[in-house]
Amino acid sequence: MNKKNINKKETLILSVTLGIITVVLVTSIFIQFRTVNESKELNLDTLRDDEMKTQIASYKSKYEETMEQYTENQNKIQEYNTAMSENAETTEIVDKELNQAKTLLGLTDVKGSGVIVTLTDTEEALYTYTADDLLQLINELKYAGAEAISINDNRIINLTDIAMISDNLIVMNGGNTRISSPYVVKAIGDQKYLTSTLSMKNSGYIDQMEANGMKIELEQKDNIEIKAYTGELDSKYMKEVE
Amino acid sequence: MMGIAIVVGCILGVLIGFITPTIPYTVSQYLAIGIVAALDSVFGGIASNIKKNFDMKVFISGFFVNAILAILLTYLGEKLNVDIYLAAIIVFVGRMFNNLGIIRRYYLGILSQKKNKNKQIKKEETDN
Repeated sequence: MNKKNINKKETLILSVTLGIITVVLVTSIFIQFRTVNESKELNLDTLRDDEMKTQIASYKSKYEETMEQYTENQNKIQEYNTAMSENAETTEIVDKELNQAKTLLGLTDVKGSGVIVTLTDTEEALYTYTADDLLQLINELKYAGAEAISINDNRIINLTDIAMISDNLIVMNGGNTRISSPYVVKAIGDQKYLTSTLSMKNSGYIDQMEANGMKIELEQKDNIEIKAYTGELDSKYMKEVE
Repeated sequence: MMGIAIVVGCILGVLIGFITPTIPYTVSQYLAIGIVAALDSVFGGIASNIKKNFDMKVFISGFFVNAILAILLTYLGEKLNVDIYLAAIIVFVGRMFNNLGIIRRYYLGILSQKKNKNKQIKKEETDN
């Protein structure tokens, strides 16, 4: 009886100690399992040296790749930049050409040296100035190389017409502008040519007019300003030939 | 009784192992060495039980002291920049295989004895 009791007690102690030991062992094993499992996910704090090395190597290669891409992109950006600046240059050139064309067309205010011819109707004259007189004057000015012409600050462009509606009433630009004496004709161009062309002896415009008793004045001026054409330029029928 | 204790211990250990938070990787290195040492003690205990010289005190002291010593040695090796844990693992795992061999031979012996007995019984039956 006593022996059995002792045996029972011993087995109980043994079982309890064995149980505790198994608990400790299995617990630590499972903690270890989970730790190892978690460490497989990238966690720099818990990496081992060799793993760290491989990670660093892979990061390095990644970094190099990215750097390559970066430099490539940089080059592309530079290319785009140069293309852009080239574009800007071409726009500048186009702008310049456009401005030139506008200036030649008469759509801008211009100034320069030239002559001012003032035609005034007088009672002593045989007749008052006609549209034909003005047209002839403009033609002669053009012949003498005038680059910009205006009558009473109305710009003469390539399509300008001058017509006589009645005595003392001359219209320009399709009847939209009325002009009357005194007619101040400004022309920018070579002063010498303009002056000499207009004041040729006998056949010159001034002589012709003065022979009819008209009043005409020629004035050379260094800083003539000629205003831009203010009407609209519109083409309905003509189209560019490609 | 002992079997029940072991099974309950296993279940409790699994539960506790899943509840407790994980430890940092550097510490897990020491824990691994401790586990190896403890496993070595367990197999040693089984082997000594087979040899009939099992001592509870030796087993328990070996279980804990071996584990703690292994951990301490690993720590020391870390400080000295020597991989002492490798030596500990070699020793423990070698002993584990040794003890496993003893256990295997013991159970193989039991199996062959049973077979021999069966054969003898059969022989006696056929003789009769």
